[in-house]
Amino acid sequence: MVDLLSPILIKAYISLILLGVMAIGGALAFMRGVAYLPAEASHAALGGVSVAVLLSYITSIYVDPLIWAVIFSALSSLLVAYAGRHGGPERLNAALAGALAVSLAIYAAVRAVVPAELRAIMDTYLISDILLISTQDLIELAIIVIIGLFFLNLFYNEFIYVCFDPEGAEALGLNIKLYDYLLFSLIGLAGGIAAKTIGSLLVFALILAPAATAREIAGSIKSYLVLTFILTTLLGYIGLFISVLINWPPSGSIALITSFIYIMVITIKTLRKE
Amino acid sequence: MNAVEFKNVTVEFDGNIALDNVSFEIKDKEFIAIMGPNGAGKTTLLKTILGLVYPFKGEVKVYGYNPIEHASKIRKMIGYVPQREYISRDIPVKVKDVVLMGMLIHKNIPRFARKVDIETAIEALKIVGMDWAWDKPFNALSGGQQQRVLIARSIATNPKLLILDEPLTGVDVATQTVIAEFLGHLKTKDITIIFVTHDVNPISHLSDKIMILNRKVIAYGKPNNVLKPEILSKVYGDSIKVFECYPCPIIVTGDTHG
Repeated sequence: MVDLLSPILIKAYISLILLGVMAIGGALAFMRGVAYLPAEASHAALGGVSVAVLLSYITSIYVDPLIWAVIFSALSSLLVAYAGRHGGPERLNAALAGALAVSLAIYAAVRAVVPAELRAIMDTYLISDILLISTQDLIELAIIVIIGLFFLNLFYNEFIYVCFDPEGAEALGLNIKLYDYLLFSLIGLAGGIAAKTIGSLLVFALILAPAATAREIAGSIKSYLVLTFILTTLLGYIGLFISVLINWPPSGSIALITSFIYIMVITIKTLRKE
Repeated sequence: MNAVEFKNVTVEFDGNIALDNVSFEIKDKEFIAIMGPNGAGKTTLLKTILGLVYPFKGEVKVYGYNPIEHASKIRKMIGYVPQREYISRDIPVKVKDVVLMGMLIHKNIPRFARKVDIETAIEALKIVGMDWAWDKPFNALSGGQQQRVLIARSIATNPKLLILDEPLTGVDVATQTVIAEFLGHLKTKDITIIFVTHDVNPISHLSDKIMILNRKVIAYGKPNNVLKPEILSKVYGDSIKVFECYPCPIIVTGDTHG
């Protein structure tokens, strides 16, 4: 009999709530027209983790991989935003690819030189397991999510204006450059957190699939964001329970369930239109 | 008083001249139509008025203020309707969100809408005949209806100067007439209106002056003095057709946005 209130599962429940909040970053990425950014940011997290692991290996002092992961995620998103602002969609896409390539190169290079126990830490950011989240990880995740939520609440209207009508917003006096950079940073943070909780390979499944599903259903911005949170958390719980019941890796079952629901919603909508 | 004043203004982008030694004045409460072919510098001219573009040389004044040095002051006086093609269609925004946006942008963070803001937004929607759509998704509206909502957003801020960048593009003839009608109504409310368009016919009768722009000011004056084949052919070539009608000539340029 599975103890649904075991400390490991309780930490996983809390992680999924935090991830649900950050999945709003996925919805913002869709609205800003940079749907691939969370995935890129989560891969950039691999670069950050690699640097942290390498520093730990060289100095023999513990360097927190999660902090480096989110720093790399946010910085790579800022780089992409800068490229987009100075060269349009072509440069933005080139910067996305470039940041991804550099991060993976760092990951591959560091992985080749560090011992097996450090490689194992690096690999948890590639395909993670939400059941292995430590209390310290959880506290750090909560702090990052609270910071993200604070900025989202404070600049909610600004982010919507920047996404909806940047030209009109700038003409009316909004500093769209500032808010665009902030928005990209938040989306980057979402990608970094997703790398820790589910792994960068599955970010599409947990950050983008629920946001894409919510996009098909929601009739207003607020319902879109709330629905993204609910779907991410709820589908995360369902996937987690399935994994516990049949002894599967949680990341895989969560990814399968979110992808299945997205495909189902799209199919139903298409059939209804026909 | 002049609402807008350009003195020998030149604007360059990467060495390419977008506006070349442009001079004109727009008096307060005038209705000005600006037309010209693609790449004529129409949007650049509007952005220069808004203080978003730095002139390479020359002097720009909006209600006596330099629009770059006094950007926050002049932007509170201006209502701006951008080209609809720049509006994102990826956001499930409602009509009320769009109209309130114009007012909230001038408030301090966190920019909450008060009851009076909501009433003003509904009034603005009534002017453009779209108050029924208050709670509707913006993306569910037709192109012409969306355009009317964007105009409502700009007039909700009670501007002294209303700038519209190609609001008739992609809009059917019936809606063009509706837009022209309520712009005529706004003209009576003492608002200065600058209207950039490829098709001047729906609004030429409202215009105090028409400017023909092709990087330089080719002509600027009363519609009957500007809408002449010998002037228009300088910009549009000999294919231009001008039909004498009352109160203003009708022109066929074959020019479309693209």
